[in-house]
Amino acid sequence: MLTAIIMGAVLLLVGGFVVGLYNSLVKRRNEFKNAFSQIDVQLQRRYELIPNLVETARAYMEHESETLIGVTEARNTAEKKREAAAANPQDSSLVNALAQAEAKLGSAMGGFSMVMENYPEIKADQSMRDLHDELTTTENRVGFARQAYSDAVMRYNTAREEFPSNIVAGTFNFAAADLFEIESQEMRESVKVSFGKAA
Amino acid sequence: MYFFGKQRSSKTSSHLFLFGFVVAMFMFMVVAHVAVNAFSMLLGYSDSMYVSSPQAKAIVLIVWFAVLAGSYFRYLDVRKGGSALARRFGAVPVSDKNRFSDQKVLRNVVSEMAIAASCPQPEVFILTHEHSINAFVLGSNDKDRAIVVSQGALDNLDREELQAVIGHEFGHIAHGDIPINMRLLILLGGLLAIDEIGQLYTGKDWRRDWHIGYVLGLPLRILGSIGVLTANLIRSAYSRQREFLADASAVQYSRNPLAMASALAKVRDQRSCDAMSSRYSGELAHLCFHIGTVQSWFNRLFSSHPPIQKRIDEIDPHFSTKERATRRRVAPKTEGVSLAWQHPVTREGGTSRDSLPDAVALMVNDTPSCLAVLFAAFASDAPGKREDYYNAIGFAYTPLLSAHVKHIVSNQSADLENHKTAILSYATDKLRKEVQLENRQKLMMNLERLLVVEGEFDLINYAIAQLVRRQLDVEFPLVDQLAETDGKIAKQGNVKTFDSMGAEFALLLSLMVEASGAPSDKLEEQYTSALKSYTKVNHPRRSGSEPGIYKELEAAFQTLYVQPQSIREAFVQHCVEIMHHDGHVARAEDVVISLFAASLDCELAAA
Repeated sequence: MLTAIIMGAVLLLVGGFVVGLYNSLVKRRNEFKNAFSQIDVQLQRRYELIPNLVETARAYMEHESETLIGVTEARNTAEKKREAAAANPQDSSLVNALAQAEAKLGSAMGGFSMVMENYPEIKADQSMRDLHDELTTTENRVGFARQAYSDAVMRYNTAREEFPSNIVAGTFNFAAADLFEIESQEMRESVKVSFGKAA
Repeated sequence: MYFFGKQRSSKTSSHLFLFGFVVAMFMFMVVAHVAVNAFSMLLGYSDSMYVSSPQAKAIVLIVWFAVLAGSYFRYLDVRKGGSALARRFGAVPVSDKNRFSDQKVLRNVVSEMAIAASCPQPEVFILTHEHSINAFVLGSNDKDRAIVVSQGALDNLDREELQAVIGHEFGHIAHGDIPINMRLLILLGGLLAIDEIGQLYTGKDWRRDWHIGYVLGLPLRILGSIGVLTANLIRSAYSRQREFLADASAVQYSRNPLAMASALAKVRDQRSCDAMSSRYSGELAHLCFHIGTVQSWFNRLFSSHPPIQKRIDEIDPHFSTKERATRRRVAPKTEGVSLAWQHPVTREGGTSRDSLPDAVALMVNDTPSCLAVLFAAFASDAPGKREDYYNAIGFAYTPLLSAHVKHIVSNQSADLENHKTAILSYATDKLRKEVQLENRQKLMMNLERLLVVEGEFDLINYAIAQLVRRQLDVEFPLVDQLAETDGKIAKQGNVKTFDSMGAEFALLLSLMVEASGAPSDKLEEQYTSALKSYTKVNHPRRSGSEPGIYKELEAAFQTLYVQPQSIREAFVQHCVEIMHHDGHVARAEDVVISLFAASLDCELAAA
């Protein structure tokens, strides 16, 4: 009888411990999903601003339609990838695809900013200036959102790999999360340039 | 700094302190119980320390009741939402569309940090009358939280440092310090209540004769005091750890340890940090960005914040060396730069002393003489009034300054008249760099009061005073009003048509025309022709001598300021044309146009 009680107590304790670990893993996973949705919100904001910017710029630079089309196309691709990744943020290949599309859009925007330098009258336009300001803070926010996402992913991955929660994670299939990072070296560089130009 | 590690270690030690707090509370109640029993045994009411007499039971009951009631009342106080509390402290909410660019920056910084900390966006408030650097968060639940920043923080910190300070506050939010602090406060409120009930029995004055109240009151007071003392000690130690934690979190969010360190260094170097500390030192202390700490060990023990230097060292032990190195490298450039971004007003670049004639340059060779020149520029032409003016200066400042002003007016008034703009611009530039903001504000207040008393507050003096105010970097007098009305303007849809702004244009144009000093029938003609290009409505011509016109003028500036840049520039250009219309630029015209240009944030092209 006594042994049964002790056994029961031990089982209850272990069970409670496992439930605790499982719950904290779920909490971390939701945290990083939420952090991703923050990036998503800010990216969406950015993608909504870009067509306005292009439309406003079109009035001034008719001869640069190639650049404008390039920006629009890059934006549309990135938007599609964003939708795909937002639907399933745990799929790291989708997130990677989005990061690459982002990088392309970044370099297109960089080119756009450079072309814009040649048209001083655009810079004088009030609505253009407002849009540009808006885009700058949005880009800042994208940066912070990505950073928050990386922090959340780090916390989640650490919790997933630590002993003993790695056993729970393995049993219940908690997949590793991926950092929102750009794969190839030249992609990384072009992003740097474009953010510098736009900000 | 490796902020994740720092966060972990300060989290662990703060948890220890929290555990200690709970244990101490429990111990306190047990000791209280035993002490009351012992006391009643001593008085002969019971035979044993462990068996309570009815009297002892009554006291223990009172103690428990006091703790619970005190906690409950504190809870009622604390339960209110963050924005309600912020308003109670006199903070002004920052509206969405604001004419002040520093408030726009603040909003952006707050939303960026909210994203970085993955917290919901709190409401943003500014303490407009607080000139030291500080910030705090209010409200214990996520939905109604307010972040309050002092005007001093906006004025003295650059964007990155502001980001670090806001990040620190978000550190408190993210780690749930506010609810914990509120709970500790509630418990403390209970302990304080014991002391207060004891005080009811003993009476407030300790030196009164011994009376029967002391039998019950004294033990209660002793118990309460010991409890409050211990609880405070532990709470402070806990709170200091949480400050380190919040600092480390701020670095995590902004990824900019240098900005955090330099924000702290600015706080360390500011001189007038005690104003806020004394006002909010009680309950708010634990939420503030910093509290001035006195350097005795006793005060340090009860201080809610670690010493600033220690906080800087935690972030970057080599900060002071780096700071000195950067300062040396960029010294010639950065002077005044940190102030420049916060005011949208264009400031004419400081006039160099070389451009002034020698005799004049001597007038402004040190700070006191700059001050004297400033006052001399406003001296009246009538000798009687002038004497009053000197006396008033002597009263407000020192007789020495008054004599100095007198000397300048009687000997060098011609020089002063001829180079007034250049001299004033040089003197104010120097004063801005060398005098603290607070004293500059006092200076402005004194100056305006003097002018009103003297009856010299005409359009020219008003305009010069406003220009001096801008040069001295002293904020607008009606800041509260502005902040409020800005919200209204933003709601109404801020861009108006020319017609609806007719009254404002009419006011400005009539002052402009009046400044040219032509005979009145000509004025009328000029005014109507100028107004025609703005609106069809016939606004009557105004005059600078009407009472209350300056308030209206400020309001007009404010309305026009939120209009598109192009409209403002066109208007100022138009005024310049009016000025040159009669082929002669009066000094009054020159001053008025500079005021318009500065108030409307337009560059004034050199004529």
